[in-house]
Amino acid sequence: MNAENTYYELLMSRYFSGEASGDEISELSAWLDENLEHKEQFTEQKKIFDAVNEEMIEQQVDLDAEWEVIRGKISSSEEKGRKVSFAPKETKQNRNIIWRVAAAVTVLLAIGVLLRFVVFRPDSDIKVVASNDVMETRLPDGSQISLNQGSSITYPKEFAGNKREVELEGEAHFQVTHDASKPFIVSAGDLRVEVLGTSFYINTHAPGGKVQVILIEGSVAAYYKDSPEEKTIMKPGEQVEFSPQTKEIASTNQHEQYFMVWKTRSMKFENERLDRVIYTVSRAYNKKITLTNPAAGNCRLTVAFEGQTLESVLKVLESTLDLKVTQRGDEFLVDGKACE
Amino acid sequence: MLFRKEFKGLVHFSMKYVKDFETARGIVQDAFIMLWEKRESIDTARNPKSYLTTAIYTRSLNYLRDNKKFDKNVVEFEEIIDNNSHSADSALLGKELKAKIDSAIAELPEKCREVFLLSRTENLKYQQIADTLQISIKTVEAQMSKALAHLRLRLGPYLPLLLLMQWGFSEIFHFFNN
Repeated sequence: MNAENTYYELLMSRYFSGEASGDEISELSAWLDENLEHKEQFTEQKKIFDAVNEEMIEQQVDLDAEWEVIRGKISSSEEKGRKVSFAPKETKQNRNIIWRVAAAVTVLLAIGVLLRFVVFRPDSDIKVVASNDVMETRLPDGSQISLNQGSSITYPKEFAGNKREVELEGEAHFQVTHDASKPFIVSAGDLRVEVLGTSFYINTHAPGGKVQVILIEGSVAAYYKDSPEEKTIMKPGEQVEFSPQTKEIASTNQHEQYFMVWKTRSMKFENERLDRVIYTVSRAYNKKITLTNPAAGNCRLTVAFEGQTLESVLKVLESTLDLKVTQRGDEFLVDGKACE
Repeated sequence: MLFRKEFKGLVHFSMKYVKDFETARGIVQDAFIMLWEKRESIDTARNPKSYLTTAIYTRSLNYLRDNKKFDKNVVEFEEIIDNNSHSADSALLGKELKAKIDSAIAELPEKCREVFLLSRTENLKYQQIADTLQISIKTVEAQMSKALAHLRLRLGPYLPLLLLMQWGFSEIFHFFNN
């Protein structure tokens, strides 16, 4: 395969992955027009992506969660007090769909109203809690949030005024829709993280009572709520740890490697200490894993995991380092000897 | 319910244009919301699916235009490919193809598979994959390309042959041989 082919292969991959810029798409378009062979290559590539995407959508889309999102948005634009009833059955006909959607929405609306009085704060903010699993949610402005299990985010039904304010408790990755006229502000305890549109990660439960912020792309400013003039401006790839108690700020250009592990469950350790490995694995699966003999934490291992179950990960650890793993309730105990 | 039956298919439909899962998902969500909001004013005798499809099509193209990613030539060519794939036996081929995809992905070298899955099933951007795995974007691109070359090799014979009718006989020869 010659160099030009490789170049256009990469370009096509970029295009089908949604990575290509406008200029690159025009370039691809011109290349397509050159001859039939190019069109064939493109067709083949497209079919592979289509098939893979279809399979991915089949596996990844959780219809109940999607319905929740839609329901949330519909109920927020509805007037209060409307009532209809709901029939959640699958039906063959589409003719009465409007009526059915109406029915569905209203019962859910009624549930929503109930929830609001029982669970939500009276100012009708929406609180999303990822109680059983990692959760993806979309804010009214289109921003995407991945919430780790046990974390929650609170946001208004609509971003009125000139700010977009949300409150985070726990750990989340944000992909914020750009809107220069409405800064996006995350409250993490006393800390405020302000952005215009960008991708970043916050963990309010970082070890040592710290709040950890990692900037992936774009720019963010972080400050404490009582001293908004003292801003810490972060650069992409930077990790900053804020200690709300002491107001200490520690920044590093080498961010923690596995900050998204709870979403990806993809880990690759090279000659890593066992205690670090266990920490990362416990974060990935959101399970308490304890090293009963802390001295064994100095053992080192090289291993990679890719979306495996926790059980199989623990089995691998057991056999590589001659450890013994037992389960006690929700917790896993890892026992072993210290290494030389 | 229309939602349960059509949601995934419509996301796939939008993704054919926007190429980004989260964007497609948002567009389809919005279309369902719009269908609800406009329930009074739209003609209920008309198939709501065709209403959704039209709304999603328009919004997908608008997204491409707004993001300066719209190229008439490419979009039209892709539509030709898609129209030719919607034949009666495409569903059957689909099932067989899915099984083949899974096994072809399983055969990829570990690092390559890791990158490919992060991109295709976790929907991470190249930059995010590079950050997550602590590798360069160039490496991500190279691994993606490697993965696709392998998939093409393994899946080529199973891809629908339907385009050939339109392209004429002389091209058949080259179709799976490059």
